[in-house]
Amino acid sequence: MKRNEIDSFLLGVAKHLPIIRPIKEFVHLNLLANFQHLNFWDALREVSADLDARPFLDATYYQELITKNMIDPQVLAQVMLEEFKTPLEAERVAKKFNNRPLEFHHHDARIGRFHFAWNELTQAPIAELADGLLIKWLGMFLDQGVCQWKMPEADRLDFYQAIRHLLGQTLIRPTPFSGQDLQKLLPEDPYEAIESHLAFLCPPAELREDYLKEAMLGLRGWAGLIASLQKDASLLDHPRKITLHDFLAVKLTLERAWILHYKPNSKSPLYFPFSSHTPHPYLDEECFKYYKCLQQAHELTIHNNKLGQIISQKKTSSLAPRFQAIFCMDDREGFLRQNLESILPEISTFGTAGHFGVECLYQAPDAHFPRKQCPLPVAPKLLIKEKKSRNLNHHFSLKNALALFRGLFFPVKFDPLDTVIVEREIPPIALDRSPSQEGLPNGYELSEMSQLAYTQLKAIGLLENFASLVFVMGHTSQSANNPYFNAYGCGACSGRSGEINARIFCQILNRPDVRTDLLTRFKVNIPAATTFIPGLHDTCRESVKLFISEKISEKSEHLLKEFIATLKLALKQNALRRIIPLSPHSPIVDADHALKLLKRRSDSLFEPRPELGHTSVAFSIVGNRQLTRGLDLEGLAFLQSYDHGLDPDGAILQNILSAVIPVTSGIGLDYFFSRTDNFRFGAGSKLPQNVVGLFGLSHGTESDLLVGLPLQMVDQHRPVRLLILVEQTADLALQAIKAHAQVNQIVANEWVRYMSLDPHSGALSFYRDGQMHPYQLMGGHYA
Amino acid sequence: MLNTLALTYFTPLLFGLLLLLPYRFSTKTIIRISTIGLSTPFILSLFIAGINSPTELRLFSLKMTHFHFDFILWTDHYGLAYLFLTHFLGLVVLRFSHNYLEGEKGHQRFFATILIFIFGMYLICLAGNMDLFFAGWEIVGISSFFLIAFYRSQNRSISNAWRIYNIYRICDVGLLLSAVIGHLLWHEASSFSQLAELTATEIASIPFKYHLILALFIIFASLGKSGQFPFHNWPSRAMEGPTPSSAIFYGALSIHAGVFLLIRTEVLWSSLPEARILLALIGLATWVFSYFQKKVQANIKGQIAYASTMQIGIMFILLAMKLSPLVMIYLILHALWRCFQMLTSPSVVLQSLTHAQREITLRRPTSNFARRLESTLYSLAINDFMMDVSARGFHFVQWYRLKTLFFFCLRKPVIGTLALVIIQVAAHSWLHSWHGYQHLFTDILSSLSLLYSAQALFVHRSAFKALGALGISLLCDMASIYTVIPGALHGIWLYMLPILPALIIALIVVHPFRELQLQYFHSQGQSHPTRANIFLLCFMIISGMPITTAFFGEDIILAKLIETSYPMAIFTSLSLMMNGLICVRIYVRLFMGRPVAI
Repeated sequence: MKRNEIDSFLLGVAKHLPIIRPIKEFVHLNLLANFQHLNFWDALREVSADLDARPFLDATYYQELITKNMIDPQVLAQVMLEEFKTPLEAERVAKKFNNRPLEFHHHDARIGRFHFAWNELTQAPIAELADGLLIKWLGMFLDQGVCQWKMPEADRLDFYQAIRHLLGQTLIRPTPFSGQDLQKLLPEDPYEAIESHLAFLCPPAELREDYLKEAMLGLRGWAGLIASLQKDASLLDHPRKITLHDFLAVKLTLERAWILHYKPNSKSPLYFPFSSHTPHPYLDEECFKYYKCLQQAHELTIHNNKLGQIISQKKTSSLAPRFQAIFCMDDREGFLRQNLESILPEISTFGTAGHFGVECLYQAPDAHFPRKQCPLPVAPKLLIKEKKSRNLNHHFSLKNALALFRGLFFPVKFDPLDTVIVEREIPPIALDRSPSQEGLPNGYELSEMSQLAYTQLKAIGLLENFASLVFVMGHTSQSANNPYFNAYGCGACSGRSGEINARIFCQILNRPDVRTDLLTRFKVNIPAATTFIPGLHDTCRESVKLFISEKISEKSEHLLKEFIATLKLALKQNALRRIIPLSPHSPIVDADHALKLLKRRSDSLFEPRPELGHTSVAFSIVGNRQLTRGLDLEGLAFLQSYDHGLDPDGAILQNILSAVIPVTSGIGLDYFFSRTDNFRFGAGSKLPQNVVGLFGLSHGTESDLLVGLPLQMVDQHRPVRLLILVEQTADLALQAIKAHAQVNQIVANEWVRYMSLDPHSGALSFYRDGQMHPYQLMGGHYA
Repeated sequence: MLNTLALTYFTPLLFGLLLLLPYRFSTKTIIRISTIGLSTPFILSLFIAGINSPTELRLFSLKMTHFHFDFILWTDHYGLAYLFLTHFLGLVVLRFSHNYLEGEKGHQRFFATILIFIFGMYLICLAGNMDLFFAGWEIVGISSFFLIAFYRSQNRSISNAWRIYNIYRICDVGLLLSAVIGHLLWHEASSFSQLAELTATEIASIPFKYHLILALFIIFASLGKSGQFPFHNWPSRAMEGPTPSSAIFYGALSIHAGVFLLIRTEVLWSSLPEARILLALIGLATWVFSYFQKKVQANIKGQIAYASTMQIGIMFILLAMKLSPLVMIYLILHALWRCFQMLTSPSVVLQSLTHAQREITLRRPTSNFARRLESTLYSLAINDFMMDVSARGFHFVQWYRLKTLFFFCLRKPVIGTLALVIIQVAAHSWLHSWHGYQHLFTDILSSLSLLYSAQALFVHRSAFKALGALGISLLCDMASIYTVIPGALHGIWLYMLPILPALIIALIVVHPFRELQLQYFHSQGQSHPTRANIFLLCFMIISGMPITTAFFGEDIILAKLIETSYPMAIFTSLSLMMNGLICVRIYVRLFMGRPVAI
């Protein structure tokens, strides 16, 4: 293979690698995002074949759904008929596969065939030896703070050269390099190394691509991380230079060296008989189609059920709101909104992406590095630094030690159940533009601030009728001893806490100069009596922090009290609701007990499921809150507020969808794949996890990095693709997705289902093959 | 009264066995059972701790015509200290696992194993004599194996569990033989309480050679469990089970068992300067190697593992200085600290974000030679100094040449036997002075037995054949023993009575799988769970676990043998030890491994 061949090959394989990022930068992502140019089902099939993965959950799962009526038989029949054309054929296939367990033996796996052959040849576990050393080297090279001894030259050289340097310098060479020609094993150019090792390791040229693919996919966690780092080295705080060809060159070098170590005389290239490979039985064409039907019927049953409720929902005319609250669109915030509204009818709530348009890097007072506080695809344009203000006490003291000891057995701190905390002594964040040293500008210009405020308020349709208190709730999730801390955080803030965004957003809106600017430039009048109050909802502990730095009038103070009382009630109801799926075994006495249990989960060192995250998500609804107000959404939906009346040409919708569809589909699909085959697409059990170099997780000490989500996060999930429901006319809805290439790709290739609800006629339409078609619930035509 | 109450220490064992029954208990019941199982003995320990002076509790003794086995507990300060550590950490880990393992597959099995492990630890802490101590030692070993291999479908974790079990078992030979030699040297003083009262002159009266061998065996036994040089690499490979089990084993309890053994038997080795120097050297070597290896670990659990072995190296050095009270305090603090570190290791990433990190700035060497030295140390440390006996072989010497020779001998039984006989005769003449060829036939038989065991372990690829070779090896062993010491017949009976049927059943169980190649995993346990469980039981019996009379038979046979010939005792115990390895190999390869995916 020549250099350009290798490069083009690596480009091809890089697509097959799962996308993983350093654990600190964890965000929910579609693991197969590289395949979004393909139809969902084709991609699923192709990737499953590559990884020997099971593309669907097993037969018993679907059988259970059928018996529990979670797959509507009528819907299933309809879908089957569409797929197999005639009822007779559909019946035959159903009979053939219904409830038949399908087995796949790992001896038939695609990955591992070459290693198997070498093991036979050398009578030594070549792959295990080579990968063991490679993983150690990679860990050392990329390490961000676990190792106490940095790899020489790791920060200067790229990976291949660093290894060359290390081995070249040694006085005693470690096995397997002792007594071998280092120049030959590690030539200066990594491409040369790949070329010569390939000729040695895999003489038949026609097998080389297969072999390289196996080499990469066999360590797909590491390779995936390297592919991400190759694109963006700044993902690591201490950046490292590493590329896929470096990785491949070192891997092949090690394999060759170990073979030579055991068979020193094998100068001629090895020849090995090749064991056959049987694809996974689910990938059989008919079988795949059958399960695809089951899966589709399952999705349709869940979606239709809720859609029916939404349509038949009575629209209540809204009262003049006494409170307004802007929440993150997150499905978990849905519960809180629901409860607040049911207790206090005079509140109106809004949902939007939890970064509230504040796209910045934020550096906390005691942090060394700034962190991104906006959705993943957005490149932040400015940096906001906070000066040290809060007195953080991390020192070792007898008191802390005793607390730690008590925490081992009684993790709950015995404080009264303070679910709402009001912090009044929060110093304001310096927002004004100031000169910076770091490249990115610090702070905003005035015009930027008012533009930001206007865009956000317009998107959610809040341009008039401001209540005197408007709450802006970011959210976070506090859990002890949990390496996936970012997975429960706010997706729009790159998995971090939304506190800072909410505070900045409110501070902007509370500034008199911004308000005058808003009035003059955009004709938006925010009354002087209106105060924006930032808050932070902890979805794990079900508590809320409110940050009040402004002076507020006595009347508002009175209102605030009322709101806090309501909030406390709502949080209690929330806790009761959220605790049930979490601890099915322990009886819940009352709301206080539920809150206590939730807090215990959050504080406990021993909790693999601090909360359930997005486990029940199935919808993404873009529309007025009136559409769903009063409806129990069961945490199924992301709720983005959108006022179709303010958007006659669909421009706002385009803007919203360009963020909502990639982010929510990423979350949904991350759960989907991790649940479907947790062994290949997911991370396996959380219990034996080991932190590697502060950037990844693995099982044991010498193994591949983990991909996707752990079993404990997804085991209650029902894998369905999201349904994006837009409250807009069919034409504008279609136009909105076509405007944005990435969104169009996701929708057109069926990675999500897309529907619109006409706000005037109430008619549903669904997207298929580039068109919107009228949709009828139950019977008739399904997507 | 107290003697009867002391039976309470059996509760974890009983409850553990209860949980192993095929009945599925509810999560709550499992937690209740384990909590009761661990807290009842704790209450008793509080009573015992109230008694100020070391006490001997005689629970019961098994007496037959030719042998008796005393079940004695000995509560001295060291034992009690370690016992309370076990109680405390056991309860902590139980508390941790309670939520942590909820909903995990194999939940019940995990608690059963933890309970049985803790029971083994009780025996180690409280054993009144070497036999009981050895029983606890074995129980801890086998339960470690099952906790490391908790994820039965992960090939990597099973192979690591298997490697570690091999190390454990090899080192167990040391303990077994030292127990037997102890019996021989002090016929009357077979319990720890009596050992504690031995005077210096009584100890000095033992011939130097025997004393040295005894001390070496004890030290060797402690190396395996405590992960000391050259076995200091296994703890980092053992990080495969759920975090709580790693914390209790490699972090806290079982890794200190070797140190505790040395403290217990201090009387037996500390009067020998040679033994103490060796101990200090081992501690030093472990300390040095682990120091460098710890520094280059990029994963947090591996780093904790090497840090542990490093600290235990220091404990070895302190022991060599006869500072056992200090070591005991050190041990307890260290165990608590490591357990805590291990349990909270998942939060290290978050901590690195919230706590400002201290930048590690190492002065880079400036001279060329120093740079080369740094690189050398660095790359050797990553490569485990080429001494990872558990996985990569001892590459420091050109091991593969030796390996070729070894396999050559194995494949040519005549040459192999000849070589073994020569070794045996030579060793015998050094120890017992030349006695002519009176034992030649026996020597040949015991060499043959060792050879067959080795063949079963290293050569055979079919489980059926390997078990067959194991049977032949056993028969040769027993024949050789009978020819040289007809008086050991009752021991042979005790040993073979459970083992022969177990072997036959095992042969029947693996018969359908005789075509499967033993160098790969076949995960038949998934489709044939009953067969797997029956084989597991047979394997425990054959390897002489303290569940049948074979455990006592082994003791008697070796005691008789050692009176006659040390080398022959070593050969026999080696081949008995290998029998265990053969069985575990077959069990791992046939019944564990990545399952058929459905």
